[in-house]
Amino acid sequence: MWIDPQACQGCVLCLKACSAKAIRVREGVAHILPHLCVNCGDCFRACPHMAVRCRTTPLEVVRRCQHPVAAPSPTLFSQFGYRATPNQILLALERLGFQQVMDMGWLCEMNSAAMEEYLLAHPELRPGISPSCPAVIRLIAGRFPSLLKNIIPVLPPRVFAGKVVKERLAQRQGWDLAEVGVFHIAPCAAKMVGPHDPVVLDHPYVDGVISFRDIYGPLLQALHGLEEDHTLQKCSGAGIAWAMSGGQAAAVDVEHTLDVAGFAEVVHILEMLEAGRLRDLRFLEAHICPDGCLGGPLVVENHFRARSVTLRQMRRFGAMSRVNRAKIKGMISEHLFDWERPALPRPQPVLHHDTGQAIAKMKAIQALTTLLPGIECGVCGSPDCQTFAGDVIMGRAQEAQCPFMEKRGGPSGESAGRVAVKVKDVVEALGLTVTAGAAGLERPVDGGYISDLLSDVMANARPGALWLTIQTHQNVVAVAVLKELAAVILVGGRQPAEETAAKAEQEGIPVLVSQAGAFELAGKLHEMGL
Amino acid sequence: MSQEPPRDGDEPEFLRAFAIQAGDFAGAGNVSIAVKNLLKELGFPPEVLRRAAIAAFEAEMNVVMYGGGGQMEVYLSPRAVRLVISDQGPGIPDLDLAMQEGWSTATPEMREMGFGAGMGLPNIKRNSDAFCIDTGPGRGTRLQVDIFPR
Repeated sequence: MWIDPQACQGCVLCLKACSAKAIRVREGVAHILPHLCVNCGDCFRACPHMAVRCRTTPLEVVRRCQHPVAAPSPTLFSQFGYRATPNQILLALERLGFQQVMDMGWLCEMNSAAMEEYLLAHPELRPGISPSCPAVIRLIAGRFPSLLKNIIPVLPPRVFAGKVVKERLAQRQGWDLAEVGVFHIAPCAAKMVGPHDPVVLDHPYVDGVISFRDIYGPLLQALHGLEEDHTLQKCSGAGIAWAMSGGQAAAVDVEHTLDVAGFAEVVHILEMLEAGRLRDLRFLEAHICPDGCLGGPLVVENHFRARSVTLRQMRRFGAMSRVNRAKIKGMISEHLFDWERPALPRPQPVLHHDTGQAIAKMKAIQALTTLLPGIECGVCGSPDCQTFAGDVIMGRAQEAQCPFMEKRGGPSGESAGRVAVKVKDVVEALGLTVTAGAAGLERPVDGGYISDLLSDVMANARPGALWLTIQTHQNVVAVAVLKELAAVILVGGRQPAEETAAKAEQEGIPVLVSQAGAFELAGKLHEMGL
Repeated sequence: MSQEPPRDGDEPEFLRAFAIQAGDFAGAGNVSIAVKNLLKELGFPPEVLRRAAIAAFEAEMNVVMYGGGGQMEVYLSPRAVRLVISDQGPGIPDLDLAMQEGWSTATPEMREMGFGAGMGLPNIKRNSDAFCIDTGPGRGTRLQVDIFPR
């Protein structure tokens, strides 16, 4: 995922949509924090301005490739309604110029069998987690590293396809490996990662990821008037439905399987696993997208209809896999499914490498959070108040980015460091006349209050406030003393009554006179930062 | 348990309290998840997270199921994680019995949901380095658990 700064409007929609809290809006443009992002695609779905882009491979790359091979997700079969069969869709891909089209549904069935064999050989693994969804793998590597050991180390079908092409097919065909391109046709961009991604195993077998959206139009044309002269489809319904939520859980025949889909639900299940719950579970199928790959961000078809189409195809082609188990066992003994490197944790930044200091920072974050309004508006550019507090304490944001904090000029860490404003500073800055109580000119000022009702001031004015009023009688001084106000400012050029001045003198409460009205004066005080 | 307690001057300090709702099975576990994530963000090692999560979860469930609601307080120092779980519930009449593995007073409904294996308190004790419980009929229960990073 990346964000086009030209197209980004700086709104909060992606910020709020991101379950990983990996987006910040800074200076009117959204940014993705790569160490938190799992490539789920929620920001892509949320953006109405097309500013969020998925890194996919353009079709031109395929045209330039000498030996392009298509490895389409079986989800593709659900995108063209009830009438188009998987075989027709595979043939249509061939018409588009792919020299070889892999039936990924078949490879998915092989993968199910390989996962099942792995689970049977490792009864201590509870549960084994399917390695198929790269966003889930990335989520585990970042937030649940203790569960990395639960991921079944069997190559996911797309990677397996790439491996088979490059290690077997290319040799058989006499292709120069440098001219072979394996293109996974996918409903998401989560598989599209650089070779340095610590957790996704695609490199170097998969060379590109083509979006359903890009290939849909050309495929639709190729399907039109297609002559079904040979058969590419080997898969049964088990392979067709493999990437739909529940597809793997149904295909992997072990006791107690669970399929979960959607970011928050997946997090919930992983939290339970990490807390030592769900001990009976043998196999977990987890998809970051709702309804699995059918709900991928780059699909064309509505995912409810896609499910309906998939179920229809499943009935038509039968749910029983025809994969030969003996052959799978042979391939396992040849280590054909093996990962070549382990999935590595993606350590998340902690508050501080020293636990004591981290605790101190956590306390500061909590203290700041209590001062924030808690309405989770996102105007500051962080997804919620708590995250914003963390960003401020970690030096990634300024307190004043919060419109409420800016208004309040609050008593928190940052503003506490500010030089305190005194009554005499206000007198000087605004050219006020001191009519009485000059002894109190050194008093610190904290905000202001405008009211001409004494009981209202008694109830609501804060200590240290400047009180702007038109009341000139001596009770004003009494209220100011009781409420420990900084000073009284009589507005509109009003002069204090004689007794008022005397009492103010006695109490050391400055009574100041402004020629300006309360509204104007308040504006100027605000400008001073009060 | 036979683990060196933290040195003087390293007493865990109060950080945060979480409310636990009585009978809230749907939300049960949320407090222990929040506690675990807090420790994770502070950089405590996985082994501490694991033990703290288990102790917190079992204690939270006890408060949800029997304690009539209560709270979990988190006290921290770099060398100790302290959880104090308290409720105003009926208290535990026979603590020795409750500490026995397999002893449970869970209702059939609770057991239906997979609780009530009688492993709660023993499990908490097993995962903690210091375990202290104050309870009795009519005076609620206060459980204090310390976990020391190894």
